[in-house]
Amino acid sequence: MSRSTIAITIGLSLATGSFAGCATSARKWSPAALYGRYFKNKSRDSLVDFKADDGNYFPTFIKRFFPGSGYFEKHFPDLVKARQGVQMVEVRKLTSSDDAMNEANLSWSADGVYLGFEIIGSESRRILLKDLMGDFARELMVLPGSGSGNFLEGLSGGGSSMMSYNAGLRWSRDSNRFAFVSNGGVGEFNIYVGSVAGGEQTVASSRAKNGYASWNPVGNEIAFVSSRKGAAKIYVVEVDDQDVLQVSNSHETDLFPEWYPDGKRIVFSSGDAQNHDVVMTRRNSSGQGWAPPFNLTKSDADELRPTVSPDGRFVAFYSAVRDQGGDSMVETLHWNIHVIPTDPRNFPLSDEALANHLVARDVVVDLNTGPAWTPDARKVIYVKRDPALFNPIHAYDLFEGQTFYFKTNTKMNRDIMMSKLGVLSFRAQVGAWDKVFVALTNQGIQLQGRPTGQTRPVFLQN
Amino acid sequence: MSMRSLLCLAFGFGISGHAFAAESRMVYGETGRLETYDPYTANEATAQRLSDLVFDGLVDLGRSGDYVPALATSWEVSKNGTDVTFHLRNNITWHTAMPSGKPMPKEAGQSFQAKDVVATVKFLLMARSEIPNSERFSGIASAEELDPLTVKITLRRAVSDPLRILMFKILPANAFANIKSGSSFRESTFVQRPVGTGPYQFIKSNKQGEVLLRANKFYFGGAPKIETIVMKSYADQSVMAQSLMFNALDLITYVSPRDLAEIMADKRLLLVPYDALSYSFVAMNTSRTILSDRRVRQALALAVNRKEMLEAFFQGKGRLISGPFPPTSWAYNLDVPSVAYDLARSRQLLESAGYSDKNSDGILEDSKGVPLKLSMVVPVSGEGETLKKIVLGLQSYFEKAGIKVEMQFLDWVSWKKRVLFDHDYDLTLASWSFDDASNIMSLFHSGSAGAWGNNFVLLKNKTVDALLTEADATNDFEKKRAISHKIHALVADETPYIFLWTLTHHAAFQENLSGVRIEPYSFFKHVSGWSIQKRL
Repeated sequence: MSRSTIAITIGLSLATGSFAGCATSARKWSPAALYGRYFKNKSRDSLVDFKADDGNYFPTFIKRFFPGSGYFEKHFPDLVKARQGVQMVEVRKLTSSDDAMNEANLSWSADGVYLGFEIIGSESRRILLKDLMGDFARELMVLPGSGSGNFLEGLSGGGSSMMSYNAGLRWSRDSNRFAFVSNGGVGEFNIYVGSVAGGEQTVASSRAKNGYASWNPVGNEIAFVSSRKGAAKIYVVEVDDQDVLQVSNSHETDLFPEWYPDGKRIVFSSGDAQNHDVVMTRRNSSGQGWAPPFNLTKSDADELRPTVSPDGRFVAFYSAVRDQGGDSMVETLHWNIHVIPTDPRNFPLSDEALANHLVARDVVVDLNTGPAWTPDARKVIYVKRDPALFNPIHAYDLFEGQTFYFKTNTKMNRDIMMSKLGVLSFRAQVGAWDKVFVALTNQGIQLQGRPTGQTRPVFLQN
Repeated sequence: MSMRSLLCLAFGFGISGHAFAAESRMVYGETGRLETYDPYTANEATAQRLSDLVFDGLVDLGRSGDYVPALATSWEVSKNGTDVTFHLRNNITWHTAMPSGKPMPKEAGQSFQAKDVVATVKFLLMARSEIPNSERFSGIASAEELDPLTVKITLRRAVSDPLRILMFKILPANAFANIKSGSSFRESTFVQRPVGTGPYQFIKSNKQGEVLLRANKFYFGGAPKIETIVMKSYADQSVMAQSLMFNALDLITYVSPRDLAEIMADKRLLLVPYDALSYSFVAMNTSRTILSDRRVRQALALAVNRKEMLEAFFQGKGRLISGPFPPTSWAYNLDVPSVAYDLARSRQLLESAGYSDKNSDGILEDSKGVPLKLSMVVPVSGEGETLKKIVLGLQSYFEKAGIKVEMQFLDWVSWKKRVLFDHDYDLTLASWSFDDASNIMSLFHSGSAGAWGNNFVLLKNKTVDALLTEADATNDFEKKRAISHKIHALVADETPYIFLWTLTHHAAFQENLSGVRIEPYSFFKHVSGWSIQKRL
């Protein structure tokens, strides 16, 4: 494995006018400058820790992007009524681009200010960072070359005509930094970190594949998957000193690590072929290492892509259901979503026990984001496999036992995620191309409040 | 020829890169779990690939498309073209290795003989109605054992290329003992523990659909270099692709379009394209009043931006087509251009057919003010994401042309009855996968326009009928090709289909797998020459 330098191509810009403006001048930014234009003298915390009051439900930068928010505030002047049910305030295509390119895989920063998404071209897959107002736009694409200054050091097999593939952006708790996966334009998938102010570097590299970066919500470490020792295992890397620690060690393939909000536990899928279980590992009592992982589920079904509720009480994941389809001897698979308590008293849960934790039937599996959660940890958001409606977005209220339909008027929805402020992000098909959308809802933390952890869940009946 | 919603064949060449130590186990991934492991009861590419490992046919296709010996060493075709006599390979035995503790099947270790060929043919003819895609056996009349190593197969009528329909896999005669129907065979122990003559022996399977195979050291094509092969079944194509990328698999037989770029971007993996003998199309029911007008059919074809769809949904990994043959076939007429997206021309044709937007609602109306509306029935199983994306794209294009198309998704069985039997549809989306890429007789001949016929667009064109019959009858290759090119041009002009594209499929594998060569319709044909090495 040879070492050389890899340059990251960065477009730093202050877009003028519409959000679609994505000019990329080579200018560096400080965090203060990022907010200087629209947010002026306000501190960032005051912008995102917005407190809703009667008739005033969204911070200014949200209102600017979603003019329809004003109508909503007038129509529901009473906060109690404004927070009832699932209200779709306004749906907008994120960019005005009609380019013949697919967009995918949005990811919100923890404070709901930034988002990143991927642009899929024939020559590259790159990440675009933005904020809703268009003050900030930045492109991430790692290319082989000789870098300097803030350019990162990476691994390279030398010159390459291979496409640069950059994906899987995940934000740090403070929303200033992010991790992503790139092949560096040389075919070696490693974990990179960067910040909105610039200064990218690799933090986890090996000739074997590294992927699925997930940033600890309370610390400067990243969980990721690597096959550096053969099979895919979960590792954690300290961002600052780049110490890497292996945290799973079974003979199975471990994928999709997600942190708990306390930053002390990681849940992931572990298994083989079409039999993965949901597994958890936690820091040992000394806090220096990791205890042996243990199964939250142990069933014959394939359980994939667990996501943890914002209050850490529950884990949602996809589970396969088999049907004998038509005149074919190959079974037809459907997928459901189950939600289980983080620490079930009788873990691991078997097939029979899991049947009592069903929240959605016949859904579209989305390995990019997994089942999404509302910020108040009440609802699981997912895409329903409904061909007639071309994959509508639904939500299940875990405590009311009620299913809601997000009327986005979009089709072939995917990559669902919701920001802290209640902005739903997803991709949908426009003509032949996938474009990214954002939709303002009444599901933000400022309207719904923080999780209380008091209510008992209600599951679907079999 | 078979109809599938997705096709998944690939071929390629392995390149070894770094320092390796010898290892002789290959793990490959498939999607979908098989219930049976024989060549005939399962209608899936997964089963066909497994059959390539376990079973042999009498003859095989060589690299240049010629026929080469397999279980038969030589053959003769009678002067009248209806009888083919095969001389069988001597000293071939049915696989003997079985997992410990399991009783040996009675056919294990016995010699392969003519009676096995006769029994296989008798089963195929007896169970035709219960075997998926059994029309491929419809030309066979009987089989007769002339001596233990000589067998004669008689066809219903002379055809120009008889071996093409005689490439089916041979099973041991004992597999069919007391079998009275296809369904009773499906219930037999053989389909769970098949015994073949191929390069790999079926050892065992488990409830997760994992299959263990062991090399047949006495294989007539040469002892395989890889000692064991494990087939793993995945519920999700992307998880399978991730398993390859994270080293849990050595090879996957199909890469879905959404995983293609990530695999291409990993230098440890080799991605191998294959242009399958197949194409996708939108079928138009020519018996419907609106669609009986060729101008309307042509207008629909002009309204679809197929190039954009190929780019958006398949990253351009395919080829637009202009007519009824797969583009890699000699029958394909390269002089017929594919229909280019032309919305203005589409509108003109619709106007000449009597449709205009009288109320300015964007949808055209006929002279009586009836909106131009069509329905499209689409077979869908599982998630069917790509299928739904194509359908949504089509709907969008048609609407731009002023045609309202309502979509109806049906399960496979309901779709077949609605389209193939009842002919109760306007438009539908499907794909043809060809065994014989030059034979489209059943697709467009009026004689196949009845219930369950492949001419479900109900095209009735006497000139096309005559040319199809003439092409089928002749043994003169040049004449056949010239006629096929005429058919191509005629059918393209008739536009019973919106001819969409033939896709490039891909297999992917680790760089430590070498010697990989894959043929159309016989994925593992050259598996004996593959080898795998462990990374140091």
